[in-house]
Amino acid sequence: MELILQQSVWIQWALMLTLGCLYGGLIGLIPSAGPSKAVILLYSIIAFFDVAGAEYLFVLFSIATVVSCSIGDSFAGVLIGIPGGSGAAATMVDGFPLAKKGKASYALSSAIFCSTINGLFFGVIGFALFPFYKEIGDVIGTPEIVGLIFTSFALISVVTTKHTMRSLTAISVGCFLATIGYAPDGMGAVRNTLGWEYLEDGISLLVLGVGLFALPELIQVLKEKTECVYIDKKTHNEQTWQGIVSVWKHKWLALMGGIIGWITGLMPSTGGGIGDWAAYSATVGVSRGEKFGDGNIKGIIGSEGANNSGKIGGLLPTIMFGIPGNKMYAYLMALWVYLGFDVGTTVLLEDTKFIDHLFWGYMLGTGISGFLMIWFARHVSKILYINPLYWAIPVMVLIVWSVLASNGYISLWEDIFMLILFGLLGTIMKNYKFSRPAFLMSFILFPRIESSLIQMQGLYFYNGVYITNSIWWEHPILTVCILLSVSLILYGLLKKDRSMDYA
Amino acid sequence: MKRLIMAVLISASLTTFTTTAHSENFNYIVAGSVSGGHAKWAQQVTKQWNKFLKNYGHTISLRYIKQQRGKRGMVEFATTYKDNPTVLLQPKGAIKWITTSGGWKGYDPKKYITIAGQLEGTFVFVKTELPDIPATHIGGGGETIVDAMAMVIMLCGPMELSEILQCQKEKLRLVYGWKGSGQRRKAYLSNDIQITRDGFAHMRKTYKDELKSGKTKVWFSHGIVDGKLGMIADPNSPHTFFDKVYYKKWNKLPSGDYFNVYRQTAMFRSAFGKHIIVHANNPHYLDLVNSFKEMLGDKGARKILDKKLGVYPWTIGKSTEEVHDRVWKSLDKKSLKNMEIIRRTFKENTNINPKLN
Repeated sequence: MELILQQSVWIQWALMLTLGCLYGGLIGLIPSAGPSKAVILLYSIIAFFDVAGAEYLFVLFSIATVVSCSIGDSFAGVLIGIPGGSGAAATMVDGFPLAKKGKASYALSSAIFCSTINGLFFGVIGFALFPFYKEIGDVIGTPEIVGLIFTSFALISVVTTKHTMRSLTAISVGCFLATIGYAPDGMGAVRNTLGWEYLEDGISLLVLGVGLFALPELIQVLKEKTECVYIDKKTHNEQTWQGIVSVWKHKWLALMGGIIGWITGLMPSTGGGIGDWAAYSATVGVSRGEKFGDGNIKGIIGSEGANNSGKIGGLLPTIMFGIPGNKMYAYLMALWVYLGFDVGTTVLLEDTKFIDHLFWGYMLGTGISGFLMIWFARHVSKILYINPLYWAIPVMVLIVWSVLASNGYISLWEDIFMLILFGLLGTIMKNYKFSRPAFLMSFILFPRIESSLIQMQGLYFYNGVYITNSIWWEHPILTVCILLSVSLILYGLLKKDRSMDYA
Repeated sequence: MKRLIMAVLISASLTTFTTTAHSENFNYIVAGSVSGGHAKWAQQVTKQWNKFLKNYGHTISLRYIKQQRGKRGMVEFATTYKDNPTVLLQPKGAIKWITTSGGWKGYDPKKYITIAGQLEGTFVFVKTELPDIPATHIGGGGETIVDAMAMVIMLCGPMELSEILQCQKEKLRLVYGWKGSGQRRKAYLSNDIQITRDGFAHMRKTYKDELKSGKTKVWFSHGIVDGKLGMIADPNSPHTFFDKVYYKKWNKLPSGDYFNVYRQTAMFRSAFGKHIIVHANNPHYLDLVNSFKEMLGDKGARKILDKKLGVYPWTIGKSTEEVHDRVWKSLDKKSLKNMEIIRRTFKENTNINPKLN
């Protein structure tokens, strides 16, 4: 690090941004990894930045990593049907079918371009709105978060599939599995573990996600090896350009996705892909009569619109109040605190050097990553034209290794057993059209909704008054969200002529 | 060119080998998540400690085992790393061990030797305008029970155990379901709850504006454990010591069964909250203790630690164990029984560890 610090500022910045973008992009490519894992791995190198003057370079490097990883996690979802992170699952619904039709470059370039443009646009707005964030943050409390999660459940049950009952069943099972382990009141009681100590911490999200998506998709890829159409360099370039043009063509959808992503990102603790799914659902909602889930480019643009705009949204409460927008920012915040930044204080907001590094790290990181990824997409999408025997098995090994490594190899056999179990469950769900995205999302969000409901019991319903409780008009967002959720479910149950059946 | 690259690689490998051949890289297990309070303490300490430990040819790397709310880290230390002299542990306190009956697989906090520790204190913040029944948060694996107990004693005053348990239901609203500290800080700042607890660092940041405007005040601080007197005032805010504030309100010093359990728990938190242990007969024990001493003796390192972790007393080696011994001795059958009764009223799944009976 001393060697880097001896260089000119331009070289330092160029190096950090390039390394951040490359590293983040690389982790983003690994199926089921995502930005959280990219940030966790930074703990192993943080000591290199613990030198006077290098702290700010770390801000630059880390934020470039986050944005690059967010952009890069579209690859796995689009190319092999395994979401890079929970947010990228929405992109996969239409991206993967497009890739199977030989339009991988088209899907990827539109996803990356949309994510990049919205990242830059909302980045500027986000940083400009620093002084007003407190007012926005004050509006969002526990009831609003509960309302939003309910709406997300309803949206995903109805939008991604025509089988609403099956989707609701998948959500119920996802919620039940999320109850396994310590109860959310934090008082040490364990539930539904059948006495198996391994389950005390609950089922690992990574194990569940990989089992549910990776194994069935890789098996399918092996079975359907001849399905992809080979395209030449010229067609690649044409598709890339078409993807970029399609974002411009559907710019209002991209903007709508961006706004949804940014607003949900602003709310503390609303990670888990809520913004991406809400944006995807809104896109389906405004595109009446169109088929989704079979390779509709609008589905990709809608959900990717929320991707990086959500990241800037989540960054704001983290640095302004020290209240992380999501789990990934909690990890990142701890690293910044380690290096001596007073995250969540006015002192930090007055540190113009910090803000400069953050702003430019975010903006340049987004721009550079976007450019590199679009260029890179051409080469990575060639994976589809190679006989899956050559890459599917190594990819599976890489995924299994990343799952086991992420748990520190502490419960090796148990993790392998659960991977196989969820692999089987994922295959059954896929074949019988039980929505896997709905299942995954309910599993991720159930602990949050359960703990929020417990909080609400203590904060608002402690007097036993439910129906006439003042919460319904004092927190109108909750009321509106619940009404919307009920309406959506009824619509899903009654309207039978919908075509989408992604599972 | 190829030869040049090979030569560079070989010499780099040789240099690395020769400089690391006689050194030990220690794994410092933090029994908690990478972004929690325990981790932050470990990160700040190792950041400074490594500078002095390298003179002994060693380095420390942090490893986080958050499973089973930190219990897994302690069990791993006691089992997998039983004979490994290069593994250090920062346990997640001792109260969890006291109040949980099974699954420790040989982990016993009294079995190990201590490198060092910091006696820590916690502050309780309160809104200056309170409703009739103020609300506070309960969560974090039962860690906040001790704070709620102190609030109950302060609100209810001198009472018998059965009376104060009834008063607890009437004078304080307990809100459950909190996972991260960020959530509860936001809930406090938006007045959803009116009483909260936090460490010294947050007085200067999270509550700074509210303290300045008079919306919030430091209600009391638990104080820190002392080798002789039990608990003494927090050096960062002596006038807010629990006993002083209580005396001012109720005109007598706190006492009784409920208070005794509160005081014991607070002592355990202060003494065992942040400390580092290794297995007995560790061959590197002296290197670790001496380098830690050097770190604390260094003005620059100490200034940074004071700023980041608060001006709290440090204990090294035997002096830590003396404090720990005193705290262990404060437990008896009656107090353990009362501890179980009281903690269960906070809905905790408390089962006193049979090793203590």
